[in-house]
Amino acid sequence: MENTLLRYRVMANVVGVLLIILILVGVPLKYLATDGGGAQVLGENITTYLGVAHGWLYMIFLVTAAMLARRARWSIAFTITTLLAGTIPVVSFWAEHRATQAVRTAAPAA
Amino acid sequence: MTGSSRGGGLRQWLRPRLLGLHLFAVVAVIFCVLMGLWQLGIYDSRQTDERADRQVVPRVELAEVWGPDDPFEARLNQRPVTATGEFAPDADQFWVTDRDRGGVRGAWLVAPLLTGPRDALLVVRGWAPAPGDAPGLPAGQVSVQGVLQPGDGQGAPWDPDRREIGAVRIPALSNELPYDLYSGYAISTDRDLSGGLVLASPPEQGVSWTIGLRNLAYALQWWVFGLFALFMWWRMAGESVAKGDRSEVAGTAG
Repeated sequence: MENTLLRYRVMANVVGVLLIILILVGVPLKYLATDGGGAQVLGENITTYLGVAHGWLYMIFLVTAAMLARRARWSIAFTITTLLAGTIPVVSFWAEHRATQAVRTAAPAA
Repeated sequence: MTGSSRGGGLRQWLRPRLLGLHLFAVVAVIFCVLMGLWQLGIYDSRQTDERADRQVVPRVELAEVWGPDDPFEARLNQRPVTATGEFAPDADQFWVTDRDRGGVRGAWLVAPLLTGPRDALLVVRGWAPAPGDAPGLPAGQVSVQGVLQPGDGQGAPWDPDRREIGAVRIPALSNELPYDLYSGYAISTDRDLSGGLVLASPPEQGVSWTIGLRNLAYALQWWVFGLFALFMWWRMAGESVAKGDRSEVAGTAG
């Protein structure tokens, strides 16, 4: 259980941090910075490369979360909200915290 | 006993509690498929735009974009130009075999156009079903409209008797012609210059499939997400039904 939880937490944080860089840094730079400027190019690169990378990492995150949900016997509603919260910047960290609390409460670490 | 539990299974799958999950799965899968199609559409339109961008470039004088000693760069590919000079003597013309036009195999007639004392740009005058007598070239200073092409890499070797070669291989032709050749050639779009031959069609515009790759990757990702949603629905609904069955059994037992 601890390993399943750890895998989930690592992926949740990786995906959460990348999502913040992508949505809160890359996208504003791409659309708000002066066209053709260095900042705009940086935004373009962040959205292009990080965007695609984040998509695949999010899939790994989904799998780790699904495995944890199964091991911890989460309810359907709890599972779906935990998976979906991973797509919202900042909220993903709250979901990770909530999920970790739920697991620890149900099965306190030895 | 077995029969009743199967019937119970179907009822279990249609429990109100699970209907929400079913609905969610349907919406999630449809959403993922549509998002994927949307991104695929963007990929397609990027490819189309790129194709259009390359074709809609203004025609320029050859000397403005390319010199006789310059390498053939990607930006020159398919570039429409006007080349000015004097044609080499009629006898310097030759045929390039194995050239398709509208699915028919034929040959190109090529003439060197002298842009300087010794510099020559190879110009494809037109296409014929088979090599034959080369029509004469216009004398004096001429302007030729054409589309630039990179030289070919491979093809049958030069045949000096028939003045034929299997591809526009610039290095091989440099040895056979008394000129310094440009490192690419031009396909003439000038009907006046064709001498009665059919104009050769420039090769199909090749646009790299990687243009708009991000959108293609997103499209694939959306569909994988859709599959994942389907898988999760299967697992969650199945487990919920199994649990329901057990509690029902426990309920009847107790």
